[in-house]
Amino acid sequence: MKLRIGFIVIGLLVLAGLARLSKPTAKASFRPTAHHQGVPGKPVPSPELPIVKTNTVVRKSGTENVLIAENPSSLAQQALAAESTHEERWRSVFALTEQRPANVDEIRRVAAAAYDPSVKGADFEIRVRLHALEALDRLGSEGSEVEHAIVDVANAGQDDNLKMFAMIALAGIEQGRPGKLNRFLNQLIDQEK
Amino acid sequence: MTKFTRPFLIFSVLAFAFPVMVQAQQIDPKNIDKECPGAARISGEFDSVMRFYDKKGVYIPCDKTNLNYRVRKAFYQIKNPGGIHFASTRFNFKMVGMDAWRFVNKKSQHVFIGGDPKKSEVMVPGFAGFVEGNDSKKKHNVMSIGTEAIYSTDLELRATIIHLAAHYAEETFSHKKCLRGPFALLPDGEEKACDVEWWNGAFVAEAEYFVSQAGASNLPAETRAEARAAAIERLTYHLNRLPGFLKPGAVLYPAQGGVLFFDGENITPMIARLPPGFEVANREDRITLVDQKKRQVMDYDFKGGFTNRKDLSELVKSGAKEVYRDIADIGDMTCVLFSSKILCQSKFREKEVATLTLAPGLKKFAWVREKASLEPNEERHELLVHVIKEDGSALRMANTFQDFKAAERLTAAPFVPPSIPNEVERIFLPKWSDMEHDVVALDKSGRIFSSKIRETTDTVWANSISTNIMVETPELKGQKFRKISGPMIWSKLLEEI
Repeated sequence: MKLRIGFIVIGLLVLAGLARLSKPTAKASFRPTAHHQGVPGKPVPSPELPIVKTNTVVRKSGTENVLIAENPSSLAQQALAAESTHEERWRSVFALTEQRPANVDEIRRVAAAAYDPSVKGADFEIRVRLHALEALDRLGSEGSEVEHAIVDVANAGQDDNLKMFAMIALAGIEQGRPGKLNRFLNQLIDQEK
Repeated sequence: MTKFTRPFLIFSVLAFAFPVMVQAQQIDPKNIDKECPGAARISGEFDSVMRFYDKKGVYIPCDKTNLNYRVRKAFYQIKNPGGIHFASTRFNFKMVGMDAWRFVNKKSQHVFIGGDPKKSEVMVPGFAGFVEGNDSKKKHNVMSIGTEAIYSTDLELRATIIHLAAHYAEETFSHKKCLRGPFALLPDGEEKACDVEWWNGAFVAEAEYFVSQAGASNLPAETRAEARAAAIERLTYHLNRLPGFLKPGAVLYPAQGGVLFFDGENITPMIARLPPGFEVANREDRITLVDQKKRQVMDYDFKGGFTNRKDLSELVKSGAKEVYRDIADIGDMTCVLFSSKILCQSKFREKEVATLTLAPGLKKFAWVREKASLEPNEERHELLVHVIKEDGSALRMANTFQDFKAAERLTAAPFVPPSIPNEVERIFLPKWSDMEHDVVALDKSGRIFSSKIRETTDTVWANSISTNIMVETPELKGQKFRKISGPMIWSKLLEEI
């Protein structure tokens, strides 16, 4: 009898444990420290973060210190690395386009890179290229190298939209008013119904 | 024996019941999310309002490689934007509005994490998420986040949730097959989903959220840039109607002078007067004029005038004694057609030029639409360029500079029937959106015809299947035209910015 009660108790405990697994509560046994309970949007120090010195720099990106590759070529490569997470890739393409002096050829490499529209992450691939093309558009006054880079983007791949955006950027340069694509896209996201 | 066994069993059960404690201690330091809102905060916020079902693995707070944590964090961030100054722009269609949490929490309180996308009713591209039971009569709609979401950024994950919530907010937000851009050209019958209108749909709801984040002044520049690119991507790649003020159309040259732009619906005056002595070339995306005698080429400057194109002028001049006929952009090259010669210049920075001499009698370039698939039931076409000869026969032009350079001759092109009797020119407008016209043609008498689509509906995507018939364009009846060119994307506003 005692043994049976014991099994029933054990069974109930097992069920309780399973329930806990599927729905954690505020009393979860993991107790985050103040360090982990940071407020979203505010910087949180991370003592565990390893410091890597080879070919990297620590860079302030607004909310946190991040480690990124400094070399423009590595950044372009990382931005296009399909096996990396989107977070890592976005950090790289953003860093690449923010670098001054800008490496036009590496930005062009990202903007003109072929992608497969049938893959699952095609939307993100487009965003990376769009961001790079906008950066070239902003650099439009910095010489013919930029114009050539945008022509390359216009001629690359089967993406009609990117081609159209590149044509708008080129039109701005030809008009003597670079940055036309940025102005156009500002209009695009400021549309009224 | 019993004395030892029972406590041992109880200990074992407890160890099994609280693996969270064990696993939490095992987070790889490099995987700790530095912006972790904390387990207590996340649980406290959602216990009473949201139920999470962790299909795959356990919930490990602050481990950014743990999908169950990442999803909870995304919900937490939507509910607690952390003082983000959301930008209120004219774009704001008031679907998501200033309170994304209210929008998300309106109908869905059940979140299934790590679900099977094959069982879904509506999926987000990449299977990051999908909704099940999209039915207002059901008590609990279930929002599912697929395993693919682990690759997403925090912003992408929040937008996925907004997207899924939009499907609950409005049951009419079902997607249609993409009809333009790269997603309309997927191989092997693959299809991707798009919305139709600018002011509703789950992609537009996402875009609204992205726009508000892109303009949030106290978000990091990196996140704002990501939100901007994402908003633009959603609005230009997942909408079948061209956004805002952009229109693809044909450029029309009335017999009495000037230039008009015809987008299939509206006619807009473009240029009041063309400089005398110039011929219009058949270039896409540009208006190009050529002075035959001076061998001078000019491009429209998108502000009412024309600028000299020194490089193209040089190319036309290099034809020596040949009679100039036409200019066209074909793939990665710009080609000049002479009476018995074709010169093509690579658009890449080397600007290499290749020449092909043919028998005399070449007349102009023309675009034709040929069936790209051998499958009898598949309606996939591609645009090719032919060289039309004086006698009406045609040669098939190379599609790339590499092919042109290697070509020793051009092969005869199959006969392509005209779209209208006595056809002179034909323009293929990109088959984007549900525009009524996708072919514009000019006949010998100077009349303009355009295709009208007869629609039927399929059941899978609720998508229209169209059949083209050519009719004289009602808006242009009574007018005479000497030429048409294009297609070109244009708007008055595009010139002003």
